[in-house]
Amino acid sequence: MSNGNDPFEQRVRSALDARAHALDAHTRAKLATARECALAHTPWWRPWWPAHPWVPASAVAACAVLVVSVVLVRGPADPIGGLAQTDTEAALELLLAADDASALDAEASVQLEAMLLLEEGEPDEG
Amino acid sequence: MQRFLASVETRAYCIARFATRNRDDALDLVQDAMLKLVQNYAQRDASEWRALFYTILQSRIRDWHRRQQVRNRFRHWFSWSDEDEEDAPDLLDQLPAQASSDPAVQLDNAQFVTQLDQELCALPYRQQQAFLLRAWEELDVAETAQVMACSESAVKTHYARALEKLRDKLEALQ
Repeated sequence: MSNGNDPFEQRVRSALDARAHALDAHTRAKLATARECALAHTPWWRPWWPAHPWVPASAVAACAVLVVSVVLVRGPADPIGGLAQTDTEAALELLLAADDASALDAEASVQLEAMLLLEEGEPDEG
Repeated sequence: MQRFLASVETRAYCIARFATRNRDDALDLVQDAMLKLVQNYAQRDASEWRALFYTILQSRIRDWHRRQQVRNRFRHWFSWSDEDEEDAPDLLDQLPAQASSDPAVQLDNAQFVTQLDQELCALPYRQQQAFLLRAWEELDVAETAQVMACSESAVKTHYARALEKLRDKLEALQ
């Protein structure tokens, strides 16, 4: 086993050192980035969540505004049924208003007819 | 920790690069080893970091080799070519800045580095890693055995064989 003082081993070592020092800038930059990420050792979502809580807060607020806007623009959940019910009620009210007089007349005529029948019926009983 | 990682990252990258022969895979392995060291062993004494870091890196490299073996089986079945996935050796753009201004000396050094790269890549994985950890990282036999998860006698054998092969191939260039 060599003790490392062999000239051949020293030359190999110096050649390997020179090779490491001659790494291109792109690789060096990638290694530096890898080192920084390792030292931060944060999961992918950590860099923005705790340091900038306004990011998720604003996202939630934007979603809330969107939902409220959609509800306001589209109206109730069942707009066709709602409109149909409203139309039916309005039509019934109009119908009742229009037929009010005739309905009263009909009621009066029925009462009159009943009175006449009673009056006619008394001699029969006697 | 910052200084330690900065001091070992280029050598660790080169070791991973020799083992994988792929630049991106080597970067991934080094980053993973850094992350695990910081997450799990930052509280340990700084004198232990070097051995721990290289233990993690060697473990990741072994995992990488296992995955490659499985992938190579599938490639063999489907006759996929992996020529485009292995980086061409970028030797010329990584030649060291020469201390000597003598062109002949520079050429000799460049040839030596080029040949060393090729011969290191040609070594069996265990011999290559034992040589790099012992000769370059200057870990002792016990540390190298711990890092490589093997016995001290195995480290000695791997190292001696690697040194013998390199000497045979490279001494003519000296």
